[in-house]
Amino acid sequence: MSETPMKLVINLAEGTEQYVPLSADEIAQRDKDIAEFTTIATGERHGALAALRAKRDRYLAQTDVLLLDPPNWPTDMPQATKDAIEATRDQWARYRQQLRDYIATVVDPFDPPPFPVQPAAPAVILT
Amino acid sequence: MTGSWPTGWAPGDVLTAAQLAKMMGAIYDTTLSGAVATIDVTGLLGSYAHLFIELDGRGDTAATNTGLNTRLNGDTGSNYDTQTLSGSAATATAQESLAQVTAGIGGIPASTAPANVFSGSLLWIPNYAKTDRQKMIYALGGFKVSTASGALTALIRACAWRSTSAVTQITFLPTAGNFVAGSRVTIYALGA
Repeated sequence: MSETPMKLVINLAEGTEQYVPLSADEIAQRDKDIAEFTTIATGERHGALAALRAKRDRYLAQTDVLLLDPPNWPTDMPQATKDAIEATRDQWARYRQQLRDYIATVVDPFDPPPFPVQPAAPAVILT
Repeated sequence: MTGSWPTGWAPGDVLTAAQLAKMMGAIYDTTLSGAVATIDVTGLLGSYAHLFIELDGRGDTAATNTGLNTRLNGDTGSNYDTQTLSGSAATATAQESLAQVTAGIGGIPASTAPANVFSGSLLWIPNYAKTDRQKMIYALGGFKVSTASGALTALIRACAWRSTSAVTQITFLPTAGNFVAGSRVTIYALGA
């Protein structure tokens, strides 16, 4: 048989405190609260996961350009950047695949694993 | 070094009873000697202007953390609305929770968080005793569940109670399990 949960009652008017077992009504209310909290937690979990997914999607969108074929690169792209992209194309492809796989690695969206580390070059600031 | 207080106070001045009544002070402070499922603050007099409550706690549920909730005057109806802004590592999240049965005021570390880690929230409830307005609770807090990146969460919450009743009772309850021994509640009041 499980132990009866306790509560601390602080009476400010009297300046006293007392540890007392929860009443049957209070235990019933607690069970109801736990059921309600479970529903809320599911919603919050979905919200946290959605935030991670949105971040992942932004990173993918911001690195799209790195996998375009050279004829489709922006005309004003500096040659040094073009060279860096050519040299790291495989690394960026792997990074983007890791981003796509990232959400499946999240067990607890409130304590998520770190995002994949992007290749060092060309320097891309992801926001 | 010499000088005077910007407000005109000088060394040796004595506060009057009327001035003291306007100041903020701790009206209760306790540290749990055993685990409890809820903490009930009762007998709340209406003689202060605003309340500030600090809850520094930890839960015993088998998780890294659990939610920290409050209920006013024992109202178990769906009368609480909460807006959350939270951040961990570089991720910021906003969340709206309407018509809930408690006000979600924050989170606390729980049994699988590192040992000796306590945290919680600082709440303020302005005009808690007035009956001409619905009550708000503003909460500032955070909790840590490990030393890894993203494991320290900062929380700002605004909670609304859909009632104009004077607040006479405040109940704290974790989302799951109990508050452990060593959790501490300190209640401050600002004079009327």
